Amino acid sequence: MDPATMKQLGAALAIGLGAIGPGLGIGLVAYGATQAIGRNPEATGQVQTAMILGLAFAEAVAIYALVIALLLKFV
Amino acid sequence: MSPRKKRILQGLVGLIVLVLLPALLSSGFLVSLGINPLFGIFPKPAMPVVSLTPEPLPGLGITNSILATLLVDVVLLAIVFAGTRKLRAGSPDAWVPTGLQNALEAVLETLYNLGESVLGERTRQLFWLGATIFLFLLIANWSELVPFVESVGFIEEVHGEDVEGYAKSSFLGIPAVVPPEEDEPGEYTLIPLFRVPTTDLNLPLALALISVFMTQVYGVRALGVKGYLARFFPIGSIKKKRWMGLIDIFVGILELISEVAKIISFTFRLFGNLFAGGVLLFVMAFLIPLVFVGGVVFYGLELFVGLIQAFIFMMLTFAFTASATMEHGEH
Repeated sequence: MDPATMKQLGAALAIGLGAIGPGLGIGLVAYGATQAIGRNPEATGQVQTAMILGLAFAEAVAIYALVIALLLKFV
Repeated sequence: MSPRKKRILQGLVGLIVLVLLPALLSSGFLVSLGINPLFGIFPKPAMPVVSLTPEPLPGLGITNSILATLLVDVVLLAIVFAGTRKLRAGSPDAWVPTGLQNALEAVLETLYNLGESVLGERTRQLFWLGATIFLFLLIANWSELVPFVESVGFIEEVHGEDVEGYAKSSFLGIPAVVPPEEDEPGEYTLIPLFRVPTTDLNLPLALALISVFMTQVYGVRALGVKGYLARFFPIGSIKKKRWMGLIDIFVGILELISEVAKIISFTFRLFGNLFAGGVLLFVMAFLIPLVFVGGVVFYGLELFVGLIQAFIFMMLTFAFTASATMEHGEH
């Protein structure tokens, strides 16, 4: 296959496979957060702050994969 | 009209002016209406120009993202100066804030409370860094949502074999780029006048470097040079714990690597979210007719993402500066 095709394929695979892990991770963060809120509704504010932080870290990994895909596609 | 109805009406007008109208102006709504170059008035909208690197403006020498950064600075300073006019004049009216001053105080108080939950007793000292970064990033990220950003600029001729160009046409006397004709490759491209500052990789990198550098500065200020370096090179722990001290050395190396990783992750989290979001927004608006409705949904998503990314940068800055100023055993 010629390089141009491989580039497109690479871009698709990069983001496709790269989003599996973070997707699971974000689900786990939300799971933990909802459980914590359910057990102790008074701590909702702190749990929410920690949840947003955890979401950011998990999402960042997906964004790394996206940046590679964008680099392949546009550069 | 009852006050309740008046409120609902005001809310509706606000929704239309602030959300729907910009979304309408920046979408391919005209194509979905069926108005196309057959009438000779509205040219067919072309797919938006997506480029990873910002382009220097012809004749000016600076890139369009620097110009947009300056504009964001001016807007931020204008808002703050307008809001603190009474306060700076020293008039006693300012003791009961109204209008813009009230809004600014509310925002700042929210940020301060958030900072306090993370920073504790060091809030007074460390708050300014995260809050400044948050306010700047908020305006910069939301500048993506203003109409005509990234779509108005200079039309330049593009040279090279593999380049996908546009053809030139005009719209009510204003030159515009349109999709190229069937056989001829397009020769023109659009260089936007303003580009979202955060989509230039240099800006997130600069902010990340500032944030991590200030973390080191605060750590050294709080713990002294020796105390702070003991975090990365815990030589004293070999004397104290013998063989278990090797684990501490290993942890010290990991801390060093993680400082570098922080810079990289700060940069790419911010850049990736904003660049991808921008590409998503522009492509969705021009992709197919009737995606005007979808355009509004993605507009809301971008609003949210811009806010969240600024918030996360701030919270992480707070968290890292707080942990850098803590004593080694404290957690």
